[in-house]
Amino acid sequence: MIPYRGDAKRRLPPAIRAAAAIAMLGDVVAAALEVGPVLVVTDDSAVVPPGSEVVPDPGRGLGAAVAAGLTRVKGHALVVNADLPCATAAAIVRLAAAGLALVEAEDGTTNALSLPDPSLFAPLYGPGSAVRFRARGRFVTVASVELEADVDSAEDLDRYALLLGPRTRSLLAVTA
Amino acid sequence: MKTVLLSGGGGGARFARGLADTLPPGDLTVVGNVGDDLEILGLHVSPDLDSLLYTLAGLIDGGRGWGRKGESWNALVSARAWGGEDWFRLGDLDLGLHLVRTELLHAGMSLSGVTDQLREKASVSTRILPATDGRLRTHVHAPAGSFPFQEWFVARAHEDEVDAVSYEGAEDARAASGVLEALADAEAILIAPSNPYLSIGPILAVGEIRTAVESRRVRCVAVSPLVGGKAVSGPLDRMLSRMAGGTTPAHVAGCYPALIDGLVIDGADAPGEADVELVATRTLMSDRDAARRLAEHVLEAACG
Repeated sequence: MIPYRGDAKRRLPPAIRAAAAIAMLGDVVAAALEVGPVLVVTDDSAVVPPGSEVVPDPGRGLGAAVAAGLTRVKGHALVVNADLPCATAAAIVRLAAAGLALVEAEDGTTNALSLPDPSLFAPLYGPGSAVRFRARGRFVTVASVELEADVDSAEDLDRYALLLGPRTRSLLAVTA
Repeated sequence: MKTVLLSGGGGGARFARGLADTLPPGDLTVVGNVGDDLEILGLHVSPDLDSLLYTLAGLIDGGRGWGRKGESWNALVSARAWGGEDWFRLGDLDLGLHLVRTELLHAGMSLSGVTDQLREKASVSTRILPATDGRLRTHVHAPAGSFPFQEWFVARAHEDEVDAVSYEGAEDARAASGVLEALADAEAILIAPSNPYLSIGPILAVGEIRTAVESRRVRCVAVSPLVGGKAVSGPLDRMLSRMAGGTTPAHVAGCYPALIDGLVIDGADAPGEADVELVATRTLMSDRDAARRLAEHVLEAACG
């Protein structure tokens, strides 16, 4: 499951903001489709790549969006944020193999969740959320650069240049 | 009081700082675990020695509990992009130390020589010695197979239950330069609140060190790493339950047969019966002052 909001990336340069958000979503969806069926929770169904299913975003924040998506999932759910354009199928498989697990961003927020039982989810997103998830249950913290590399700025795009998926990487030519 | 502490990283390192804050400068020697050392990306990494150094130098990231404050991860991102491994977290600041250590080892310096040089650079007055300058590696044996320590601890998130632990290279390992001298000169020998199997076990697996502690003429006191039968962090409570049959002070003391005269336990643990003297106090080191108070209690217990 990939929660996506088109207007979430306000720190990216205006010239590429909209394109980058869509490109990143495309790269995450492409990686995820190699692993299993993909749900995109969003209010902007026009940008959702083919092959994935759209779930309407109730519009009450990331936690509510994920909760809405989880009602459609039976069994093991993986929640991968839409701003992880370095995501690969191998990294997502590794996250899934860890059982109840999360990937922590450098700033302590949560980039991805592995929920063998979707009822283990709680809307704890926001600053310091990785600590709150670990306090809620025995979440294993998976170390994976591909899923830790959330892109918020042009500097992030440069920093992760060699890891970016093809759609997002093509934007580097525009920012250079 | 000349004191030798056997220690892992983490809680052991915090206890070492409590002792360093209590004892006169130069009186403390820490013998650190090297069973969890690893070679990764061409570098020799000694996580427990580094945690001791970073903690004693005030460089440790207290929130994370390992690595340096103010760390960044660009080198890891780049290594990953070029096809390197990323399961073992090496930060940019941390990497500088590993580069220097690896270069000095390649130039022929011993691990104890390198560690001492790094300690001096960090202006740390406490001596830090690796248990051995030889190669000693901890392996964890679990139902799913046998794993090098870091693979089990980090890559597999120490989720596997542990049936046994072994120390590759221990049979031939000699104590590192300075360790036996420090033990012979010690007026007290202490065992840190570290994991007996994973942190202290590899140190005592070095025959010369075990013999020196067994034949001590001063008291040896260990600090239990459990509070209320639970590990403050890490897998020790699960390991003790499975491998020793319980998590009482007696089970902890049983990890150190003939090696300790006393065990300092937390007030939350029922003392029960044990073969060694039990001293109860508050062992949770929530801050630097708490670590210093614990150190004072433990040194008192070591005086008998």
